[in-house]
Amino acid sequence: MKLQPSWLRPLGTAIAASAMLFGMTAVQADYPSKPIELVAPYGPGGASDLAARTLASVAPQYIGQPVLVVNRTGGGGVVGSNFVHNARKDGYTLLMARVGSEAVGPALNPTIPYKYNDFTYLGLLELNPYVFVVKADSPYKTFGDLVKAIKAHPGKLSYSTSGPGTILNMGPQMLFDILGLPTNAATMVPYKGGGGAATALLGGHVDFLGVNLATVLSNVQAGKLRALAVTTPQRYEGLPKVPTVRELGYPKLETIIGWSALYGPPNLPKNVVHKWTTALKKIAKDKTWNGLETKLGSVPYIRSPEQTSTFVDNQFNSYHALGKKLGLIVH
Amino acid sequence: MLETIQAGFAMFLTVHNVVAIFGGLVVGVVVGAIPGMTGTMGVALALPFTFYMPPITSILLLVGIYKGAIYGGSIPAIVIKTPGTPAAACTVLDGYPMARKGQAGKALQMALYAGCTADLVSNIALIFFAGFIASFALRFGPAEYFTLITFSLTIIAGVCGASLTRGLVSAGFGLLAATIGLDLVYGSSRLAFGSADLMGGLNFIPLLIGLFALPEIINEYTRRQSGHVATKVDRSSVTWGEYRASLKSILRGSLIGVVLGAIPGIGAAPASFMSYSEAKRNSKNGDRFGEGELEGVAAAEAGANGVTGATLIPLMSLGVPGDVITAVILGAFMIHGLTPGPTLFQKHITEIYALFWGILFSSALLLLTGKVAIRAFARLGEVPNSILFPIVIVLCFYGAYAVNSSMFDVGVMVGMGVLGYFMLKFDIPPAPFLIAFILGPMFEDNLRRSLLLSKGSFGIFFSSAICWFFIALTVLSVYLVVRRNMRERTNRRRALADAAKAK
Repeated sequence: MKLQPSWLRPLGTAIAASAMLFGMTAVQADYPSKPIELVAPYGPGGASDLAARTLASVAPQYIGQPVLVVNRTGGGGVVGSNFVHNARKDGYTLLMARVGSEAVGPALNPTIPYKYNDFTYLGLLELNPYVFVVKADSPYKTFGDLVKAIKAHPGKLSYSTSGPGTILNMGPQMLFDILGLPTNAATMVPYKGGGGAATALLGGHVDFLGVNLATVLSNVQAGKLRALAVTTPQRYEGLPKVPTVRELGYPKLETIIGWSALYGPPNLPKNVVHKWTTALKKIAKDKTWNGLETKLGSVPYIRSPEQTSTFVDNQFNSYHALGKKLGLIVH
Repeated sequence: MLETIQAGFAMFLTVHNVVAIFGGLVVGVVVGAIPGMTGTMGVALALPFTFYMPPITSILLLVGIYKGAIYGGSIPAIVIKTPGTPAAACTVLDGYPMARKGQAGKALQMALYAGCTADLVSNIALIFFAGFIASFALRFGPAEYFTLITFSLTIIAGVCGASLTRGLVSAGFGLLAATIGLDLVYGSSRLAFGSADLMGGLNFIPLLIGLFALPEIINEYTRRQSGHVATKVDRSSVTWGEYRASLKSILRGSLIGVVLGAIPGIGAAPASFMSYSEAKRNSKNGDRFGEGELEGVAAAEAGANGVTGATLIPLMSLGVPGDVITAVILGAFMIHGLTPGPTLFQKHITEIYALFWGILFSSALLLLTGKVAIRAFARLGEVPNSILFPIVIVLCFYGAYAVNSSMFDVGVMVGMGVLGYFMLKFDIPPAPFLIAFILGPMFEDNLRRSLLLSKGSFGIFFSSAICWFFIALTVLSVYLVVRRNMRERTNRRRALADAAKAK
């Protein structure tokens, strides 16, 4: 065995020491210095997963580190959300917050282990327009026809959802509430996921459906399904003939809309929040990101942490009030 | 028409596309072969890369991963009794006994040939009958699903092994495990004891690994060491005659796969089990199923791979994903402006033909990829247990953790492993547990959906021809099982009486 020349040893020590020093300062000052884990609380292919993967594909240019999407599924988004809620407050574990797991879920189920606002808001990202649809050969030509039929024959019509605590159920329920009808004014038939609910309508097994537009857009454009109303503030670009709920006189229904936002664990350091808000401002102007969002049927809607907070408060309060009124709150 | 087909071919035939589908298949086979890595994970990880590729290239890459993974799942199922995918659990039944006999290579080859044949049948169904099959699938309402699932439950009798009672006990445990979590209709939690993890229900992959792989290992280590008995390695290949002998089961399995694949939400696992039990019932080697019968491997893999082309039918023609993996592929379609659904065939017919060419091509490439993979993996069966088993244990823990990065899942796997060990000791087969676990929730959900729609009237289950068809099949299937059991019992009694007389 050959011995190392003695002059190499101090040099090695110096390199090691400076590396340690450099490493330490990097951790403290320069966020991010390693890849960031972005938790999607629902499975691959869902709205939260796609939102996370589109963000992750452009974010590295603006944030300077790779963003890795990890699906932590289970309990209607509760498992993944709770994981981020309890994660280290260093900005390396973030959450793709969704309307289901961060607003409807906590509003209807106080036993969920986190509070809806016990996170650091980094920014709202997108809205997913929500539509009321019927089959093309259905006798209901307009939203008014559908409302009239529900009123005339309480309990006779049926609608498909992806479970009781989802916006697919909240839409029709809020409509019944506005109309002064009981919760069973139409029969709720739950399916696994929005796709299953849409298939049930396509097959003519239920009468109507309130759902994310992206799920049914192709079938609406092909004339297999008829959209009666959208809940976006303005008419949706791809469906210029479909009226908004505000035009139809149901502005309260605007609350029913899908959204994704970027959250971190509570009390994130200021530099982390600053880094992300600056990056999101730039991403809002990024052509690739905007293009991907539009193609997925979403509306790009990047907002500051303060605006996000107001928006989320409003969401939580409406769902909580509706849940209380309808006796949907879990004890 | 002919011109668009030609234009599609020209669009498909680029170096990028061929490399994409070949690369996808290779990645898929590797991902499918590692326990705990699923095709879904592979497709989801590859999705962001496809954002910057041309549409056809990116979809072919994802479809390649999907198909590769379904086949790849059979490799660890045969060699180390650790199914990489739920569908491969059925391949374990005959594949692992074959590996124990030193015929791992042969089992892997049969799995590949059956898989490629079924894949081709499924692709042809997609290309020629997509519209017809899609409109048929739409007629499946909750009541039709319910009768189909009821019939599917009778396949439990086909994988019970020696004792029907023990099989039913196993199925009962499976149903019980499936009830854990939130119920679909009211969202009330069942057997969750306030734990957020349990509210999500038990995860598939950890349960699968725990139930099949761990018991074998625990059994090996708790047994008195009798010295290592080397299995004689049989390097013979599947002959044309053997393939021909299984061809009927392979084709039947492919068709079962096509039908179950086209109906959204059923998936590859029920298809492989149904194909297996139908093959067992009809084959003249039926009695030897479960002891390392080549035809059993063929039937299981044919059912699983028959699904792969057909799941694209509801996706492309209705815009509805049948399972999680096609949901991710749906995302890829949309990102490239090819929104699946009825308009897809009107607006993008050239692209569709290009895709079809690529998908057809994939069956041949799968054969090639599989052959290379077999060479690498078949030798694993020759590794002595003292080296192999520790590696498998590490893979089990890694696999259970990797699916959801959750220690809870590792706990589920260990718990299932202990349960599986006792089931092994008491000779209770694990396959009925798994089938009940998969079908149980579908059975319950569709029963409740039907009764919600009919306002509690059971008449809904007799309201359509499809319902009557599956009810008739169920009755027939139960009758055949009962008759076979009665016959076996009288035969046994007669044999005993004869033996007594001879004394």
